Amino acid sequence: MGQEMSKIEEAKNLTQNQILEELEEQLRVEEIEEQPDTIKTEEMVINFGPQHPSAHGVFRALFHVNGEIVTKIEPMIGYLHRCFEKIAENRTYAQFVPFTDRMDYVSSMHNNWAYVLTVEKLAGIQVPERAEYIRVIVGELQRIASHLLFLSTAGLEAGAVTPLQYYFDERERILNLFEKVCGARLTYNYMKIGGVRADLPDGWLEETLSFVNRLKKTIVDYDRLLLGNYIFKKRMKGAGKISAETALAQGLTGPPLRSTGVAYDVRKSDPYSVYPRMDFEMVVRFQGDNYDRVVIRSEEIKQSLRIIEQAIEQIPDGPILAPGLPKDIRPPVGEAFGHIESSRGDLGYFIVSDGSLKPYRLKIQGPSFANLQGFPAMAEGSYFADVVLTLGTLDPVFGEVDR
Amino acid sequence: MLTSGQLLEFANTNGIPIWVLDASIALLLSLAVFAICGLGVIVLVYMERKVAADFQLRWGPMHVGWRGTLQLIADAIKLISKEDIFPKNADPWIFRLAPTVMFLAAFVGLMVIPIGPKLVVQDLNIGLIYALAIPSIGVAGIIMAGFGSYNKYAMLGSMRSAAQMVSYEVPRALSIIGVVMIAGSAKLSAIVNAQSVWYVFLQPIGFVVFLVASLAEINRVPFDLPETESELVNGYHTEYSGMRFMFFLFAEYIAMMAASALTVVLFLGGWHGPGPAYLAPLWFLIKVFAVIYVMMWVRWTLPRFRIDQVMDLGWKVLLPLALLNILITGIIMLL
Amino acid sequence: MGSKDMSGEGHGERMPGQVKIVQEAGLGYTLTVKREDLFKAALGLKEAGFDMFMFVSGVDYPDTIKLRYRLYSTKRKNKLNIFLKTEVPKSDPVVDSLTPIWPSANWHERETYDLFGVKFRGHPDMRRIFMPDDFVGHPLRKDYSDNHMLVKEEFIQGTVIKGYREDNSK
Repeated sequence: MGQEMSKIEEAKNLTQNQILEELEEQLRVEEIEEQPDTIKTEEMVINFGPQHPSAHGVFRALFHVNGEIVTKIEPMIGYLHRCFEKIAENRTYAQFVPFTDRMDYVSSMHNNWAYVLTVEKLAGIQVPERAEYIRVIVGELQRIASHLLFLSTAGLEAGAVTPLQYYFDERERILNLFEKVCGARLTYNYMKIGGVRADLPDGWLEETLSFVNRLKKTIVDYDRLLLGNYIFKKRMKGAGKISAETALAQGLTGPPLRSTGVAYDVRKSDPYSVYPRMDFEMVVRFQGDNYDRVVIRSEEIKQSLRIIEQAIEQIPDGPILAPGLPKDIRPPVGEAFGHIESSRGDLGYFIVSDGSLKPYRLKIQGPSFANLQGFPAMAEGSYFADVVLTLGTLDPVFGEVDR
Repeated sequence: MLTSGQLLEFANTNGIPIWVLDASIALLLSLAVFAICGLGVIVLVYMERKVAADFQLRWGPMHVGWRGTLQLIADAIKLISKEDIFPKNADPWIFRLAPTVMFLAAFVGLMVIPIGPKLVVQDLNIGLIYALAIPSIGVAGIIMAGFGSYNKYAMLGSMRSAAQMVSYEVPRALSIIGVVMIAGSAKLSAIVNAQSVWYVFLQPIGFVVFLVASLAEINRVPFDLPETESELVNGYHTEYSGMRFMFFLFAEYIAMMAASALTVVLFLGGWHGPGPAYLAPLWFLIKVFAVIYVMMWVRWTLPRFRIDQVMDLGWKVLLPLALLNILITGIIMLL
Repeated sequence: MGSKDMSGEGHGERMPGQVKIVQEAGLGYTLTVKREDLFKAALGLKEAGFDMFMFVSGVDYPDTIKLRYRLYSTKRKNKLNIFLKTEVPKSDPVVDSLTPIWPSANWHERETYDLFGVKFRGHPDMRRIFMPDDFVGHPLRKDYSDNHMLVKEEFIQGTVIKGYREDNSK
């Protein structure tokens, strides 16, 4: 008994000693802090967004800033969450197509396409060849339009206001082409399960071809204006760098992943539609910095122009909608996943059907969501001005991040 | 024309003390400069918008007045009639004073600029030093704006501005030493008179350094870091609105006018030009607007630097170049 | 549909039991495991070259929540997609987090937690991602209802908006 008591007392003494020591330590710390000749500094936390001119939508992040250097980034999303996945469970398959437009509103065609592709896979619908070619043409035009917007905003964030107007001039021409095809300029609702909604108007292909020829020449000038600029290069090169391993671990897709040297393009690795017949190159760069992420988009525009030219050459006549398609599509019970390469990366739809008119579950794999997750890994430790540029080069669209 | 003798006689006969006369003349002249400034700013803003539009394949303002000429007056009326928003936690005095300080610093700098032979408000013997020193007080206004508005973005912007202005003040001041050495005077009218050959040809390095440093001094692209809209929302004037915001805009354009006027005086031969003497102010204005056009051209073409690159350029490139310029000038003058 | 045994890939002993990779019509290759074996299976797949975690998604069924993980390999020559399938009972919706294997699982698992209420054991930051922190319920579950958001009858003065309430009480 006595031994136990002494043990307890020992323990008590020990704890008391510990407490005293801790107290002393705290006092020591306080003494150090209260020395008059040391400057007290503390980290500044800047609240970035959700309303900020270069937040690319409603992105919010807390930047821990030490002088001009951002040491830590805490991203917060969800300000544009519109429950599309829940809405899909209460709409028929055809009714959900317009909603996909609002997902990634900068490249709506791709969202249409990925969704109808998945439903076609689920229901086993064969799409006629002409429709596939039309999809490829408008899809690539959409990629160009989206990349033009990206390039203009990348310049804008670096302070170059003028290139924006030039890029927008070209983008406007694409939107005019889209308007002739489907009547809308931003949210197209053009693709339909089993094909496309309307055939191309007369002379549209020639117009597209002349646009392609025009852009082929002008894009070289624009590259010199923005990408060749000394200050732009100086700003972009080496900033927001990410290695291939980190990029894969952070789950980046699309141009940000390809800029690190990882060759992953759905059009090549899991070909869909008529892409196997097209002759084009997957653009891969190796530095993984902001500059590569910008240049890769410009190069992709040139590849897209090549694809459009070939598609216009090859497009056959024929129906644009799968024949004998019922108005109320009831896919068999099962699960399907379809994905395409959108302007931002691997865009996939995962649909579970229970055999009824409405999807049982619809999940959207948005490339912006995946890319944005890698943002802190890229930007932490760089200058405040570069953090904004890095966010811009990821090209997130918040309709797709939050869905 | 009245001569000073007649004026003195007039004062003596009517029993007006001489200091009242001096003060009223100074006031009148300042008012005249102020009016010219206001007119100049209106012209400049219109010019800026039209130049930008031209660079960007647009029309620019077209609807108010003939080809949008009255747009600026409409804008001014809008800004004046807007609500003056005062942030809750802002420091009341510093916040209110900041635009005034900045405006005054820019405006007072114009007082020594000779726009023609004897057409100057006050031709100081040390006019050059005055024209360099006084407008730099403007940085105090920027810091006051950043500190007073209780906003982290504004604070960061004003800090950047302070760092930038202090570092570019040094190469800017050094780059004109060559001019003073050749002209042998710091009096601006004397410098202009000495320019039988424009100093831009005698001092090419000095001219380039001075122009670049001037761009940084007045916070224009590619050195517009204090108000980068992409990261700092609007920099030091984020929290300002209406009339106070207009004052910042005003100050910015006056500073631009002062900087280009100084460039013209120091390097581009001031009022010299072909034709009769009464055309001198016209030549001066034409040159000033040419320099301003170059500044706008730069602004609407280039992206902006990052803060560390700005510092690098200032200390590692411009400063050695300015010193080199002094050295070369000295050696040539010795020979 | 052919099936492919992965035991020849140098990690057979890690794979639990008689698990086979099956090819399904809509999804391609799939691998179904019990939730206890999920982490082991994922580790095996990672070692087999599946270096990208594309998403995790829940599907809500009356008693269980089925989870679908999409993994992708950039290293393997045939550019494989694989779907890892598992399910958790609704009474105890807990499963191992895969963030130690693929850091990119972080936000995807937070999303699944937010919308389905599946908790991921070992996740570094298990918070809601889309919904506000004080949100009640998990909206993508089939039995989710927002009745708790309605204004209670005793607070409404005068007439009750009949149709609105009836619709939501279903």
